[in-house]
Amino acid sequence: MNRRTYWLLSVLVIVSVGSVFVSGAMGHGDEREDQARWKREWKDMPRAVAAVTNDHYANECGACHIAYPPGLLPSRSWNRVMAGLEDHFGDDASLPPETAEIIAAYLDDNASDRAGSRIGAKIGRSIGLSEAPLRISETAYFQRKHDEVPQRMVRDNPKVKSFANCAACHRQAESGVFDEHDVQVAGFEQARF
Amino acid sequence: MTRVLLMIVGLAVPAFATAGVVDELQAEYRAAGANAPSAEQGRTLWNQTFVVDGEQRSCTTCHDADLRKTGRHAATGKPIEPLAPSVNPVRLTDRGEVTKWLARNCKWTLGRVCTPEERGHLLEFIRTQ
Ligand code: HEC
Ligand code: HEC
Repeated sequence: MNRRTYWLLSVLVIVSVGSVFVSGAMGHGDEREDQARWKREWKDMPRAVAAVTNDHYANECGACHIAYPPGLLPSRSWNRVMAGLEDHFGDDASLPPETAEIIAAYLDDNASDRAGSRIGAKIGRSIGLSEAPLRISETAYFQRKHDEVPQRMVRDNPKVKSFANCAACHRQAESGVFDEHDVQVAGFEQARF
Repeated sequence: MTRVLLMIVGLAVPAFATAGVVDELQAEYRAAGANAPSAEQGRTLWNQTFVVDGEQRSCTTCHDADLRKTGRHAATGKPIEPLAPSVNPVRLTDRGEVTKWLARNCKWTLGRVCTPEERGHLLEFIRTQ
């Protein structure tokens, strides 16, 4: 290797390493900006998710469990729920097409990625963009918030049975209020978190 | 306004409304080949246990053997208002609700749709409670 090739090679190495560095720094900048933008938007949002306002939804989807406020899941999740009502967690929850259409539109318009609330935004951010979970209770945000709640208060507790039973612990769940200071586990009223 | 009117009508003539919806459905089941509905056979079916997906299931899993009592959804624990029209007069008054839940709950409990005759027996039983 003569001196000139050596020199050229070094320049090449410096330039390529440099560009990796620069692009890395830019990536960070993007992320920081994204975080900052999110915090700004998030600050202006109400904390609680909006209460349920659609009668068809309240009646049909509130028959077997509370009518979950639509702001708790992104629209891509609701679309999946609505596409699989015939086998809905082991139950048949299918609906006449006219009713299903009204409910699907309502869910889509009020999903966490359409209507802003802090809780909805946090749940939404904890879901990968390519994922569309069917359960709120399956999202990373939900699991992080509930990892201190033992199964004896949930599965083994006949008054609760399942994390899907939000209202057994969050008494104002149907109004969209899930404040951590307002939690009372049915059958364990004295428990503090 | 229509809703208020409907509510007044619904409160004033529940017995009439029950007879209307159930009689109409019984006539359709008969036309589809069902034998005469029997409350006694309905009661037997109500209390019968089926095995679906390795689970023992019965109408009484979510409702109660006593239809005047409040039941509980097996998976979610949500209370289910009594089915007996004698204590819950809105029951059996809305045709859409009756056919929807008969279809859904036969599928869950028996693992299949109920025949018209089975539906007839069940409705005949429920209406007498
Ligand atoms: C026939 C009963 C029934 C009806 C009607 C019904 N569901 Fe469900 N739903 C269930 C059951 C059972 C589960 C599972 C509960 C559990 O695991 O504890 C469930 C769970 C859910 C969950 C997940 C809750 C969680 O985060 O774990 C969502 C979301 C949901 N339902 C949406 C709907 C919507 C939307 C409708 C109306 C189109 C509807 N449901 C109607 C029975 C029903
Ligand atoms: C067995 C009781 C129980 C059930 C059922 C339950 N939660 Fe919770 N949840 C809790 C407790 C306890 C906390 C507070 C945790 C803490 O402060 O460490 C909490 C916290 C939360 C928070 C965070 C609130 C905050 O201020 O940070 C949200 C949001 C929430 N739950 C939503 C839900 C939803 C939606 C459902 C139903 C799909 C549900 N929860 C079902 C017990 C429950």
